[in-house]
Parts: sequence; structure tokens; C-alpha cells
Amino acid sequence: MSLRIATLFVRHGTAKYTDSLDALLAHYARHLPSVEREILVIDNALPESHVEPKKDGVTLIGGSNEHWEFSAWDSGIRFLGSRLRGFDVVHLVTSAFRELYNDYIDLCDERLLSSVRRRSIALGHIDHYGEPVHFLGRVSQSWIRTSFLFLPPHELAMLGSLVSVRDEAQFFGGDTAAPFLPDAPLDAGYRQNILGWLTGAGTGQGTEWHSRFNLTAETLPRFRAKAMAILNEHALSIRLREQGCATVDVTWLANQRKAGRQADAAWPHWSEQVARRFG
Amino acid sequence: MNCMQLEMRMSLPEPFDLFVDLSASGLDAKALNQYLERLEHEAGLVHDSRTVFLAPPGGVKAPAIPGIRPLPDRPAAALGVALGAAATRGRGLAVVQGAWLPGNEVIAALACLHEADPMIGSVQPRFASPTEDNVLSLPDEQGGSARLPRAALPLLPATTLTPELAAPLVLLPARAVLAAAQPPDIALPDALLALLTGLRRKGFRNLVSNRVVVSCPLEPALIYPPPSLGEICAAPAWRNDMERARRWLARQPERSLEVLLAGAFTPDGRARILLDCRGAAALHNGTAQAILGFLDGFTRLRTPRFAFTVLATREAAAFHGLEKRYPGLHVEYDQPARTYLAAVLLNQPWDVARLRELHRCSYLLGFNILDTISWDIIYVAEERLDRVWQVVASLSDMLFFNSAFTRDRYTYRFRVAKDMPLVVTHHSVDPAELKLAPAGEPLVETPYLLIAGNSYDHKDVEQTALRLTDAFPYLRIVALGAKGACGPRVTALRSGYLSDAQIAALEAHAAAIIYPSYYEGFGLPVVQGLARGRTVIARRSALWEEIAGLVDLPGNIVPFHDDASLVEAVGRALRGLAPAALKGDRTTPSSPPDWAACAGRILHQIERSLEADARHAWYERELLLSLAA
Repeated sequence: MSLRIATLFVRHGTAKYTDSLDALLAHYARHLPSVEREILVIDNALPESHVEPKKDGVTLIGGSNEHWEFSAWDSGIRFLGSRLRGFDVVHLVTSAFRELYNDYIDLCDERLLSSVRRRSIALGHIDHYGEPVHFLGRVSQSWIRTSFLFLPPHELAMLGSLVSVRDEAQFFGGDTAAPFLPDAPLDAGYRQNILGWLTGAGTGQGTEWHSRFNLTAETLPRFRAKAMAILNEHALSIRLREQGCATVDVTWLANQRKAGRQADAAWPHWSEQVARRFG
Repeated sequence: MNCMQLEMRMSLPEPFDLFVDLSASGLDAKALNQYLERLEHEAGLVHDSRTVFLAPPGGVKAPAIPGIRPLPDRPAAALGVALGAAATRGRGLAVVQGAWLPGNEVIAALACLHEADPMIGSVQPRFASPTEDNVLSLPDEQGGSARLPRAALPLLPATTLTPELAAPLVLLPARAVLAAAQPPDIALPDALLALLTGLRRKGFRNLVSNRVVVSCPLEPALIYPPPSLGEICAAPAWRNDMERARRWLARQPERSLEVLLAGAFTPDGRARILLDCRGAAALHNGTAQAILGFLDGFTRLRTPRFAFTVLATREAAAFHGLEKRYPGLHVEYDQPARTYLAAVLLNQPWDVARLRELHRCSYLLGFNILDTISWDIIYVAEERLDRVWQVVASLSDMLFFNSAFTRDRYTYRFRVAKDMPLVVTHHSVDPAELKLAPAGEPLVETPYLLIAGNSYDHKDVEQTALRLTDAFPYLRIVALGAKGACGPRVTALRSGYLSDAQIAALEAHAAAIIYPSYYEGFGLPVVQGLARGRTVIARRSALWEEIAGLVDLPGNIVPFHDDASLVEAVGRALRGLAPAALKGDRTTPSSPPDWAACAGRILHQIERSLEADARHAWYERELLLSLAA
């Protein structure tokens, strides 16, 4: 029985990442040719009432941009409704999926996805900081990248909304010199990581964001929105772990399969997966 | 907001300390060091703002680690110390038993639930197998649990309040820490249970979060250990009380629901659906024809998400050759043998026992109402049919109807629960599926009129035969369903005793077919006549307007409403004049339904009902049917 995948592809217009949908379709044609797929393009620059069937099993809808891709995915999940349960896997993708390190994407093929069919895992690329951070009373060092992520539908059903933090006022003030509120539930290390990633030289791990900017009064709203997206991405992994859904690194899993290891063992801690990512 | 409505939020947890009991873990010094290192670095549970109290393994000295405070007392006494310290600092206390590692985010999520209700004495997660995608169900009185697939978790309420329940991870909110008594000096699982019992006796209940799941490698018997009541309390009053609490837990509807859902999925994750076909008897009639049609439709649908089971009487299954006809469907006989995510009775229920039986084995319940005639005419109905159909209208998850006409009759007669999905499935009107037998040679000398029906009063066969005999005294009439002779030129035939070929011959060669019934649910004979290209003269009814709008068949329906219009319609047919036929109002562009489309409407509603919060209907049924039992 072929794998059934619902793809929720989020974009904000087509000015940026122009060929990203084509690249996604090409990925499916090359790596997932036999799957039964339904691709929902959620454009959160379009009104939420927009529904437009396209060719190749693609439907274009409008989505909520209130919390960027996270609220847009909520729009897509609402649109699919009860049909979502009929899929083996839900594929969350953003138009930026090819940014940063992305070699792992080509490993996401039918064999790999079939080997974890309906397992309660979130499969994607695990990112991490050099040290654990404190965030809303939790301690966490790693998260799974949400630009290219596979999940079974029942885990999404347990999560409810993919927007985990909604209130900017809980975290940010209006001071560009110190954008975080003194009592915001983030430790100093996390604040520095976010500031460094968005406006500086990264998080001290040798990687820089492609779209970093200077923090000024004009860019402060963008900083806050982008930081909220970072928090929501991290929070999604925390909430997945809270509900017992293991985060699994694609590259690690592909190497495990290549080495002939079976899927019935307990999923190791993220740090072990990352340490043995390349064998 | 009640405990079923509470949804997990990413909010700030109440601060908590941690007590880890490794006293019975058997760890040696090296393994203890490794465990504590993982407690800090993997689980993220050791940091500046928290004290971790440790009851070390027997005979092993714990290493000095900042933030970890070994308590070399006996475990229950050590727990008492941890409680006292947490109380002094106004914090909650998480209690972990055994050498396993819950992540800090799991305990934090539990600590967010302290605001759910002021009388929460303890909060605990669901415990999952590390290697399989299931969690343990809440235990029975002996501590036994079923394995509940993770796919079933979203169907449970977000949280469940229970009596005290000792488990390897329990979080006591700060209010409960202050209210807790010192645990008795006995083995820890029992000491913890005694502590929780004491809290419950003060009004503080246990809260199980069905949205917080922790992977736990312990054996099920260690996760929900059966209590050693004799150890815990010498006082008979407490012992009786704890036994009662255990009974309450075992009999909670939420536990029954979990046991039910534990069997409702196949090992490969497909939801089990029961198609109850016990309404099909070992004979050919309209009900059997409809039920078999639906089964044809279910087999034709591509539904990899569902695993269908057909439930039939052994006699009817043999008569209709179900196993051979539906090799892709699992057939069970006479009684449901397991549990299912949804059960649909493909005909009307006739007694409450059927409703109760299906409720015991299924989460969702649907009934396929084929007509309401029995209720209206009374004389063929069971004494309690009135109550049965009222209960069905109130307590089902979904109701299906073969026509809008039947739906409207049902909803006018019974108080249907608010928001009850009322789905008109129709029956197949696809010519290929109507399976018309060849016309063959006439059985009766032509010309003749065919009056179709059976011996029930509402079919009005005999009265119609008498009227037509008066109007057309020299014309031969075949009265299918008449009990006795209605005149010298009337041939009376008992219904149910003719083959399909005989009926086909009668229909094909009749000068006109008259269907005088006052009351039908769908009217398959009329549709068959239309498929054969015949004119069917039928008593005026909204049903025939609905059917005319549904079909794309060569025949015509000509309505009559009194003797004059009947005679006129028959006269026009005899003279070969164009009939005053109903014009179908096919305003919707959809194709006339085949059986796959009809079955698809049932499946679609099952999926929609799963999306909605179906628990409320299940709880109502559980409570009312338990009380009734």
C-alpha cells in the first residue's frame, strides 16, 4: 500500500523563494514518486477565504499570517479537517526549506518514510544550541527544524494549534537596546542566541542567518515577529516531547537504516542522534 | 472550564522540586553516577533553581553534585524530608520512582496543570512503551492495564480526574504539598499511595493528563502497582476506603472508554469499523438488498485507513454467501467479538439491547433508518419500539437515512439530540447495480395491470385492485401482495415467493405498473420499474419527487392522489398517451448515487464525527445505559 502524504506548504506570496514550490514538486517526483500525495499551498498573503484548485494535486488556499507559518499551518489543518486522519504522514514545509543546511532533504525518500510509517515521531533535521537554554520554565537545547518536517496526523491532533506562544508582550518591550523584557521567561543565553542569530554573527556555532538585519526602531517589529517564530519553532519541539513524540533526525535515521538497524528500538536522545548523525 | 475541556497550553509551570527514589533500583556507584549525569544533561532536571532530593540505591554512596541532595534515610522518610523542604519553599514536588528519566518538559507540562482546579492533589502523565506506540490504560482493581494505541489518545479528554493512583511519576502541586501528611514508613510505592489517599480524604484528587506522555521502560506491574493494602493501613476504615477508591477508578467511564479504544485499532494502525448486518435475514427482501448494497459499496471504496468487520447472523451469512461475496471483509457471526472505533447498524434497531450491545463494543454509534413505518402503523411493532427509537434519536453519534423523506418523518416523530448529524445516504440508483433480471416471456395473458406491494395495509393493494376492477371491469389485473382473490379477473400473488425473473417478467409486460403504497422509505420497486423504462403510477408523495430528482433512468413516475386521478393515469397508460410524469428537479450536478457513493457518505460522517468531540455522546450513553442496566 503506497504511502499517503498530506503536504502543508506555507509561503508568503511568491516574490521571495520564487521557485520553491517547483523545487518541492521536483523533490516529490524524484524521491517520492509513488506516494499518494495531496499538496496544500497555504499562502498567508492571501485572504483566508481563498481556495483555488491547481494542477498536479495542488490546492492553493489563503492562511492566517498572525503567527507566520505556524498560524498558516493551523489554517491548512482546519481546511483539511477530518480528511487529515486519512493520511499516513503530514509534511510541514515552508517556502524557505532550502535555506541553511539542507542535504538531509534528499534523504527523505519513500523507503525512509515507509520505515517509520505511522510511528509516533517527528522526522526532520535536529538543530541545537551549544548550551541548554531556559524557556518558559523548560530547559531545552535542541529543536526540530520546521521548514521540512514529517509528522503522523494523530500527533498533530494531540498538539492542537501549532502556535505555542502568542503574546509578544510576554517577551518584548520597546527598547531596541534591550528588546527583551527583564522578566521575560527566557534566560540570558537564549536572549543572546536570538539576538545574535537575527542581528549579529550567529549563535557561536559557526553559522549565520542569511537575512540578518540591524536592530533599529524601524526593524523592531520585524525582530519581534521573527523572534516569536523562533520561539514557536523551538516550542513546537518541546510540546512534541511533552506529549511523548520523539524528535528524530533524518540523517541519523537514514544512516541507521543504511546500516541495517531496525526501527523497533527506543529512540535515542537527540544528542546521541546528532553525535552519530553521519555514522 | 471542566477537566475534559482543559487543553494543554505552553504556559509557565509552577516551580517544583524533585524527589528521585533509586532505593530499589539496584544501581551500583558507577551506574548511579551515569544516571545523575543523564538526569542533568539529558533530562534537564538539575539546575540552580531546583533541589533534587535523592534516595540512593541501598548501600551506595551518592556523589556530591551541586543541586542534588542525597537523603540516606529510608525512602518514605526521605520523601517526608523532600515534602517538608518543598512546603517550606512553597513549591510543588515531583516524585520519580526507579532509575528512568522523564524529561524536564514532561514534568513542566504537568506543573502547568496546577491551575486547572484548586483541589488537585497530584498530577501524572500517561506512560508509554519506549519501543511501541502505545500507552498503558488506567488500571483495573488488580492493577491490570490494556495497551492503548497512541492514535487513540486524541480521542480521550485532555485530562481525567481519578482517585489516588500511585505511579512512577507523580507531581504534587504546591497546595497539595502543604496539605500532605508525612508518608508512613513503608515501601515507597505504598507510602506514596497512602500519602495520596490522605490527600484525597481531604478533597485533593489525582489528575491524569492525556496530553502529556512519558516513555517509561518499567514493567506495567511497576507502573501501576497493585496496592498492598495490608501494608499501608492497619485501620479497617482506611482499608475499606482505599478499596472503594480502587473500585471507583476501575469503574470510571474514562477507564471503560480506554479499554474500548485499546481494541479499536489494528496492529498496523487502521481503525476498526463494525458494519452490523444482523438486520439482514436469510431471505431476499428490501432490507437485505439494501444491506448487501452497502457492503458492495464499502468494498469498492478505497479506504486504507479503516478495517471493516461485517457482523451477520450465521444463517443469513450462509444464505447470502457473505464470506465468498466479500473476501476483503472480515465476517463475524451473531455477536461482536471485539471493540471498534465505530459501529453502524445498517438497518433500524428494534430493541435497546442492541443499542447497549453496540455501545459496549464501539466508540461511535450510527444507525441506518430505512423507514419509520413500523412506529406509525404500530401493529407490527414491538411494545417498546417507541422508547427504542427515542433513545436512538437522543444517544447516537450519527443517524443515516435512505431518503430525505425518511429523515423528515423520523425527526418529526422523535426528539433528535442537538447537533446530531442527519445524513441522507440514499440507495444506489445506478442501472448497473439495480441488476434487473431479463424480462422473459409474459407469465400472464396480456394486456394486464400490475399492482405492486405486499399484504401490509399501507400498501393498499387489495383496495386498489377493487377500485381498478370497478373502473376497468374487462381488464386483467395482477395484484402482487394481495392476500386473496379480489375479483374474477384479478390474479392475486403473495409477495416474497416470486423469483427475480418472475417479477421482472410481470413488470416488463404489464400495460402499467401501479404502486399504491401510502408510505415508503425509499421505494426500490419504483426505482426498478423506472430502470426498466416503465411508467410507474404511484400514490402522490414527497418521496417520489425526491426520487425523480435523484435518478437518471428511462421510466416515468406518474403520481395519483385519488380514485379519479388513478383511473385517469391508468387510462392514459392503456391508451399509450404521454404520461403526466414527475419532472425531476436535478438542480445539483452530482451523479445519481451508486452504492460506493452511498457507503462513502457513511464513512465521511464517521470521519467528521471523529473530528468533533464525540466523547460527550459516548459518556451520555455510558452513564444512561449503565444506570438502565
